[in-house]
Amino acid sequence: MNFSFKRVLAVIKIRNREFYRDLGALGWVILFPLIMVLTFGYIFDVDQGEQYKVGYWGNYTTPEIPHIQWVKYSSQEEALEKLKYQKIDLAITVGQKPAVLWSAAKSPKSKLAKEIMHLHLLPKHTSPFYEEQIEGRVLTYLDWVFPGIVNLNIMFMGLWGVGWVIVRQRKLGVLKRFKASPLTSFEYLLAQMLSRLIVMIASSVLVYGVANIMHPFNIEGSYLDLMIFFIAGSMALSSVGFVFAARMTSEELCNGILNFITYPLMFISEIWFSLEGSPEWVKLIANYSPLWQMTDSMRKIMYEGASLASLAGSLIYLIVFGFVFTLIGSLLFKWNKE
Amino acid sequence: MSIVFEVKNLKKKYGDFLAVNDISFSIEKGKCFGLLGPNGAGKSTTIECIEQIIDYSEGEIFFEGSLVQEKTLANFGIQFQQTSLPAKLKVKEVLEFFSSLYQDARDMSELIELCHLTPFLNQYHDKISGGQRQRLLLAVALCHKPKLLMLDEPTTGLDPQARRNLWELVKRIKQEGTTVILTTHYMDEAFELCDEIGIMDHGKMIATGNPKFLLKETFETTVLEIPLEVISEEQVNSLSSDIHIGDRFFEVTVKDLNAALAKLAVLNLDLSGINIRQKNLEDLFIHLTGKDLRS
Repeated sequence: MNFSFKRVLAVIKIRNREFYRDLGALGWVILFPLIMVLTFGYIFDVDQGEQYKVGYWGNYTTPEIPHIQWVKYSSQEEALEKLKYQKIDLAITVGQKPAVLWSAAKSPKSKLAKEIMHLHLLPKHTSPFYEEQIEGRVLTYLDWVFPGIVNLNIMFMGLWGVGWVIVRQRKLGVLKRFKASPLTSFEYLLAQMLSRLIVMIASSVLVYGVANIMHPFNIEGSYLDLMIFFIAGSMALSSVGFVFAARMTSEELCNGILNFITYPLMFISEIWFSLEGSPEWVKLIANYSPLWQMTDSMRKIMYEGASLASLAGSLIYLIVFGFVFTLIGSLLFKWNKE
Repeated sequence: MSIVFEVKNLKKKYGDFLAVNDISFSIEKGKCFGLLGPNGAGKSTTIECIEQIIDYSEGEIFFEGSLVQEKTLANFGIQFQQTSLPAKLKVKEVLEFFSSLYQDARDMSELIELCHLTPFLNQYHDKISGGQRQRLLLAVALCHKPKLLMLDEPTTGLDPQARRNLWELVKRIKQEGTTVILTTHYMDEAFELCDEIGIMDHGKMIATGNPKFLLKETFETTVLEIPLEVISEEQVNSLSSDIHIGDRFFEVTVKDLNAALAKLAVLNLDLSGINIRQKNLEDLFIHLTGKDLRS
């Protein structure tokens, strides 16, 4: 059967109609990220009990200090780069006297961390810290967490809005009806992905617009680059749904498996908390997560002004990931529950 | 008339279970072939093998003299027994959607008129009645002007009026020259619509032919249904040796109706409640399989 874009458009049209006529789903897709942004953004911005991350390098026996988490780096440059973008709150040079305490100029968290360090370390040192400040922008938790929440919503929409919907349509016999028409599996899957992409873009733009009114985001990078990563990441996450929905006929089993995938992905992909200071194996696994690749790249574009060229590796990874998983999903795909 | 469709030695296995066991049949152009049998006989599986919804294990299927392939399927239309339509769509949108999947779709207004869809065209498809839904599903099956239409138990669960409406619709489709395969377990439906029938049981085809011819070939008898309270068992035994006692009637099978009626007249009974009927397909099925059709 020859490929027909007319058939793809027809499926996109009915899928979108189904979505916008389901007011519950429509509301949830928009409300979920907004509620998350409001809740987590503001709760964690005023949290007094959190840990402050202090970077160091070289041989140093780190003392136990309340609220301080030590993070070791291989060089001063690496630690200061992390401090610049507030992935850590302080950096300390201990191989020289006096020790140098680096803080981020505009960061309230950095100031608090410095106070804690003074309180606990100053009496033990014969000479006071020599203090240095590096310039960086003020990055609140809400700034940092926002791309993660939007992408988390994308992951849910991709896995449930594509994967679970396919399983439901197979179970109900909708796919059997489609199989008795000229529609091919590739056209069907492509239409599912594209229709979801439209919803993902529309809902994320809306969420960004509303969140930006409440808390203006100062985007340093290119909106176009941001959109390119958004599309590549959305397609990669949707493609995971294809693989799991390729043959499944039980919505309950599908739900369980999707939960089994999303929870670990959510925790290793730096959605809520930075992975700085986490064991190396966690960071290694995170590198393979499309959610992490997407979120980390978008944060770099938004707050570090990173260019597309500097993030080419991540972009290629997302595109290849999406292509391979879509291909596997297409090859495994069955219309009916024989 | 020429043979337009033929199934040869079709088998469908699920593990060791033979759902369709070596069946063969053929259909002439513009005729309606009825596949009859109880639930689980293999009727729907046969239809789904023909439409290639499921793969069959052995056998050959021919349409217009050629083996059925993917491109041949464009000539087939099917109304499934169990299926769903995409959610949250109105009747008109369902038709627009399925029509847009075909290059050479039937004119929408013609389809709407043919299947009498106008009164509920702007309603959501999950809010219409059972009869209306079956007409919509039939319209979906017809939206590309198929040469062979397969209807899988299209009237199951419908009230008598809705069933009659659908029968009229199928007759109109036949008049257009479309060849029809109909599965049903309603004998009256098969008798009304089918030119040829095949009776299936346990996946096997146990009889095929013209329904009237099959009845005539199998039975040369008539059934007298006499209310239980009208006649004693001793009296009824004098009429025939082939008697079945039902809930309300003695069913007396007789070869010579006139002789039996003469005997009844002599007995001086109130005969106002008796029924006289010819053997029907239901009887034929029981005769062939030893069990009730819908058991």
